[in-house]
Amino acid sequence: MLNGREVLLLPQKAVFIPQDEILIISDWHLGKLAHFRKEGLLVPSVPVADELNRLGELLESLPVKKVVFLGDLFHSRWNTEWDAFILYIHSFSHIRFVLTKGNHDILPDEIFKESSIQLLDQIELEGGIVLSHEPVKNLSDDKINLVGHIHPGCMITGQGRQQFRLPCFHLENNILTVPAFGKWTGLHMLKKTGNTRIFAVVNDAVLEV
Amino acid sequence: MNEFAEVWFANQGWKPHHFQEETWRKMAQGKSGLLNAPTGFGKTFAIWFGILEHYYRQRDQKKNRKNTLHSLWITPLRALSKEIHKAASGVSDDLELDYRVELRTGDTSVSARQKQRKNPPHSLITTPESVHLLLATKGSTAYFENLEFIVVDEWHELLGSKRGVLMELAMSRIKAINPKLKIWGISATIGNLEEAQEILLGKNHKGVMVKANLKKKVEIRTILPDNIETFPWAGHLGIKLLDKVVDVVNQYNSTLIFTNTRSQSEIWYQQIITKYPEFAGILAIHHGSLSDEIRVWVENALHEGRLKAVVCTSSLDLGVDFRPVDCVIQIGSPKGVARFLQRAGRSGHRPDETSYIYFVPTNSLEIIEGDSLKYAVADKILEQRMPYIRSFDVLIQYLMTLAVGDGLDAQRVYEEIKNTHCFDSVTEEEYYECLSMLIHGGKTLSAYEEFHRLVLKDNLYVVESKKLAMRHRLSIGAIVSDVMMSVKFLGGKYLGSIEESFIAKLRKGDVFWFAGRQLELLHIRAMEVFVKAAAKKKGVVPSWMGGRFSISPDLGLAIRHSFRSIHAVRNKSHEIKFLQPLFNEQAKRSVLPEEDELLIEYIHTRYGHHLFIYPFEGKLVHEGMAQVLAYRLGLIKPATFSISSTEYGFELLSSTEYAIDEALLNTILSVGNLHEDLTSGINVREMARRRFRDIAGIAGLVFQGYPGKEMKTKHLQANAGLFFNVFEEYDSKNLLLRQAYDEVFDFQLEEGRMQLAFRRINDHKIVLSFPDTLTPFAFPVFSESFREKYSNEDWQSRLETLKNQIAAK
Repeated sequence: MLNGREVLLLPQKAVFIPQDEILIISDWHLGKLAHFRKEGLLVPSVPVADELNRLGELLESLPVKKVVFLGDLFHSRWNTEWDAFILYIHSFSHIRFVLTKGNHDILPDEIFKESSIQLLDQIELEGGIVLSHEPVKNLSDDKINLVGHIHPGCMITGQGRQQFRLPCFHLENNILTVPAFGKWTGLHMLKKTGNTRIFAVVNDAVLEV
Repeated sequence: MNEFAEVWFANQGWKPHHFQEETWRKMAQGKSGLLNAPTGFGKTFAIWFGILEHYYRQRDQKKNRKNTLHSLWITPLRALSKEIHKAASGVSDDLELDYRVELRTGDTSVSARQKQRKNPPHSLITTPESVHLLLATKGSTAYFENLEFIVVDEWHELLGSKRGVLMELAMSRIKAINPKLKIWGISATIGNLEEAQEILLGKNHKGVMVKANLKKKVEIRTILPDNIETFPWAGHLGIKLLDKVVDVVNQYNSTLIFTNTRSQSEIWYQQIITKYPEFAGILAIHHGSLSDEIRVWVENALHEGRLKAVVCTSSLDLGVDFRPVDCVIQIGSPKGVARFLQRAGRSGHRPDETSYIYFVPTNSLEIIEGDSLKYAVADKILEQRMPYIRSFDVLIQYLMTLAVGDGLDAQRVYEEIKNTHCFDSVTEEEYYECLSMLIHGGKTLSAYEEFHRLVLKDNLYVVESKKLAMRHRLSIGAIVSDVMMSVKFLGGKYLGSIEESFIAKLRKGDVFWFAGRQLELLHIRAMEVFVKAAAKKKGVVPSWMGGRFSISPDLGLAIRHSFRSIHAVRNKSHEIKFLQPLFNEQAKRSVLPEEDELLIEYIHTRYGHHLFIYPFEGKLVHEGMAQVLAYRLGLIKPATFSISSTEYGFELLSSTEYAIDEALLNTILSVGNLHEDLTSGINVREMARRRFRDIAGIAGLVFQGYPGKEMKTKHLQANAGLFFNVFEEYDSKNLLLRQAYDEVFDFQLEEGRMQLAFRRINDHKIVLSFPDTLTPFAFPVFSESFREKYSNEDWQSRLETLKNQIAAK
């Protein structure tokens, strides 16, 4: 519950706000492996459909009207995976797609215009919830900022000296950092301090640690 | 007889050794060969005068005076290259010869390199990587056309690494360019000298072996604490013995203090300076991450006898001769007999002098290694260097190198590499699969329309993209390092480099120890860290990745021998007697095993249930045994284990409790199905994943970035773990992936030795004990910080367990 609004942290590494019927996806980095290949790095080709279906499953199981990509949607310059992605989201004609631009989103604006994706720097929802790729500077204290960018992860120690590196949601003051949605992304490890709360993605659950 | 040598030796007032004369004779006969000689006896001159003699004899016969490259001298270390260059060009100067010798290493400026290409010297002193860089330039075939000699210095060092594979490949190419090429290697004594010779010279070679047969006196002493009771049971630092180490340093002229890691050397330096401020100015530090400027200063000061002591790492292991050094101190286990002797040889460098080396144990059980080292040296136990085979990562890099250079004639190069030891067993199909990865980015059958690396032109594969060629040249080599950041003062003075992961943990104003100085972090700009001298007393010490090797099997053998003598009645060494109270404590808390007994301890602590087993088989074998046992225990009851192993034993720690009794132990220690149980261990995948990191770097999968141009390549950054996952999921038969698994079985698990170990254990009587607390044997294993994981619960169910644990809190 943030600013009186229910905010669901999903184990699929996404956020859902039921009141607004908004699904938030951060740092997908689509097209990353294809970009590597194009630049001459040896990576096996991976069907892009596998990644797209992960979004599809979410859209089918939740009453979503609007999807906000919290930046770093596409990894780098254009490649064929972008077209596959656009084609795929067209099959969800009842859903609006918005992107708050991130540092990786270097596709020219025309490409976004051709697509049905709306481009914004940041979005403010009712209840003072602000969505952006990186934290908004000088945001007043009564607002909540949902951001991505750093791919938060945490180290959890279980019994028998087991250690787990897991993606997590990270809440510090009024900033909630969302984990990266993309399968082929890394983790930036964060430590818990006094005024932070960490919600780790453990299998099919999100648990506070 | 060699005229040049005769004159020069007479001028110096020296008399040549027999092995030098022998080498000159063989070289005059046009032979290739391997010279086996210790450092400090003039092995460089043994080869060098052979080269000179050949050059002038040949020049007198030929009228053609065009300058071409006559010899290549390859060393594993830049510092050594400089030393050889000094010696060789000194000979040319002394005898007023026009034989021109130049250095070509990573430090050589671009303009000097271009000059070397246009107007080649007679001889280049260089490294394996630089030879490959030469092969990666246009016109390299013509450049090597008249090359008569390749000399590989410290061949034993290169042999057991992938840099040795680089040499095998380079030699196979140059031999094909000029069939008259003669190859000479210089090697210290190793367990498999014959094999080393065959790998260097090729199958069915007609080369010779020249052995120096010179004896060097070595005196080994162990520095013992005042009493065993207050000496720690675990640890790797050894700071407890600081005062005694300083006492030893004060007895000698000049001492090298060897540590096993760079951070350990920083800590030792800091501790000595803090406690003994009088050492300021006469104590220095030397390791691989420091800037050349600092290292050269330290090396020169050592030569001139201006330093009382230098704290160093393997960076001072090789070749270079510091005459004033008359004592060596080894902190912690040297991990190998050959390395220990090599380091000992850094003192008393002249033939008739004795080398003094002091061994400083870092924990109580390690004291026993003092006994083991003496035994190993007396018994002439020496390690073998195991060469790499089927290193597809290096092959892929090499094929790309040739394509960037004069172009790759696929079939011809296949014939050439088939004659190397490394790729002897590679099939044509495997070779073309490697090539196909470069051409199509994978197997030919898949559609890869976006991938262009190699293009076929006039039957040669070439690289057309300038960007790709440039990127490849930057990543040539078989040493994979992490992203390094340069540490600089505000004024711009460069101190050295630290891994990015360490810097990432620091904030502005934090103090850390580096290059023996206390530094405060000011700011970070791109890949540069700016610092100033700090006034604060406390600081952290950076840790560097890598450099973590386990004890060699041969030292392991010597350690087992020492443990056997615990129960001996007579002739116990000083070290063993000193350890007696510790063994008494072990007997009191648990059991002190006899020679034919296998001790097993099962202890419960707040961490969980610990199963300790002490086979004394060496760390590598223990790691494998632990995997097998974990797998077999997992069959009885699914569980996840955290595994730790040392030279003496290993530990399986789990939150799951087992009813341990003799029947169960007999089951899990049985010899049957060993191979199947080993391969079923899920952890092989984890080990392969770690191996894959280097493989991906060498094969060019992971691009490390242009130096100083970090931003532009940010979109290409990814860790090898990601590639491993992609390959496992979408191309599981890939050769590089298979190589990672093969390396695990050959180098990490050493299956053959493990079979023997299991058989040996089966003859032993099992002694099972349930101590209340950790025992002196158990403690070092328990506190090993580096642990393996094993689980036969899948990732999902392990996460389920974790979920329940968190929920229960």
